[in-house]
Amino acid sequence: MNEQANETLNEQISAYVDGALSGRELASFEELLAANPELVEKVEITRLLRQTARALPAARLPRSFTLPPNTKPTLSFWQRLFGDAAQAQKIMRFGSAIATALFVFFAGMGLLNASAPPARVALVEATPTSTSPAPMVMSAMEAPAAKVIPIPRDAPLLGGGGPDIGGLGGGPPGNLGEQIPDVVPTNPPLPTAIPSPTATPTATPTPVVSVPVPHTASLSWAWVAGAFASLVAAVVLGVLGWRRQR
Amino acid sequence: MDENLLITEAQKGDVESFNRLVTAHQAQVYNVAYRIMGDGASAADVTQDVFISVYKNIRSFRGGSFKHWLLRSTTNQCYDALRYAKRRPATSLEGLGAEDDEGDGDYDAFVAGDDENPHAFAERAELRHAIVLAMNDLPADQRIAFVLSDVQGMTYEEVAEITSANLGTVKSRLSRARARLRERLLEQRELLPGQYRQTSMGA
Repeated sequence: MNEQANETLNEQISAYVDGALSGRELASFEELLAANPELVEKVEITRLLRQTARALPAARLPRSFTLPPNTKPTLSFWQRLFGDAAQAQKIMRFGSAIATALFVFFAGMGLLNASAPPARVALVEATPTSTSPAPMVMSAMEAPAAKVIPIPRDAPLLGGGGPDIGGLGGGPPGNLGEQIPDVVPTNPPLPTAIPSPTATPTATPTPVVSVPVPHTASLSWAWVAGAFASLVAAVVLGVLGWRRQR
Repeated sequence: MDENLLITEAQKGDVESFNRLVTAHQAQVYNVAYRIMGDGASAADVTQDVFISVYKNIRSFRGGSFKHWLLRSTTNQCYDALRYAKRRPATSLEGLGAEDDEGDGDYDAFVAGDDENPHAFAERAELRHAIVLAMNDLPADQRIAFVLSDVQGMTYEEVAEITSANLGTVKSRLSRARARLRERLLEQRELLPGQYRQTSMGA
């Protein structure tokens, strides 16, 4: 008889002795019993075993196991944190609901972020015929070079009082004139082409160049991380609450 | 006093109420531990640990059968103690006495019944002793199933609840335990009552 069949037979003997066989199982087992004296012996010894075990005398208590009257209950960290079981269960359920809502929020935002078309920035190419306002900002590189106006060395200096009566004033004494630079830069002309707001656009279409802006990776990962953390929190709190309920 | 009321008071930290629960259940807890552990000293240690642990955790009791809850704690403590004993085997002085397995028992165990002659009484005592010794050789899960079902007389469902196992597992453990014990008894036929000594196989 193989191991599995032996196991099955032992379970049948055990169930038969306990009166747990019924119907077809019982009839089938009793047929086996009628044909197998060895099986009958096993059943009888199992019955004897059961009766003897049930009749084992109760052991006398060696002492009382009552606790000393000053015993204080020691609360675990979680018991101290959450109080009694019912309160802890409520807190965990509430926490789980909040975490689930956060998960939905983060997951939804993450999906929206992922499914939205990439943002594009329109660049307008400035043309001479365009009536669109010209940019007012000019970088130093783009500014026209300063014009240099030469001043003749012997030209009378204007302004200020001079040391000589014949001078036209303002000029420095002759030796000081030596220190005046030969050229004086003048300010570059500011662009004054401010278009009129009432100007009508011309028929020429303005070429527009749009440049896709790549997704910001850190933003997507933030949604994913938030969703994941919320999901973990929801599951953990839910399982803890469920275990406490059991 | 109502048990539920005592439990509620104990959950609030009332030691006196808890001690009344202890008084009501300590005999059964000790007996289960005694049959599983196999000696009085270990059973006493387990019983004390059970009541201390239950007192610490009584706030987590959420209704149902308090007795089953206690016995679940008892079987868990027994598992731990048996595992510890397996790792660090030691010989108990208490276990050295040949008749010790019944030494803590009721005096009725040593008194023959009115309708029982001394010879029959001696046979019964020997058989009981053989069964107790054989029980101590069972694996822990089978021993616990056997003690709860056959010694304590609990149903399959109760054993399943106490051991946190399903019914099929309980039936399987119990049938294996009975089969092992039966084999041990068949190896010592001289211990069996007269009608069992004549083997069906003619041995």
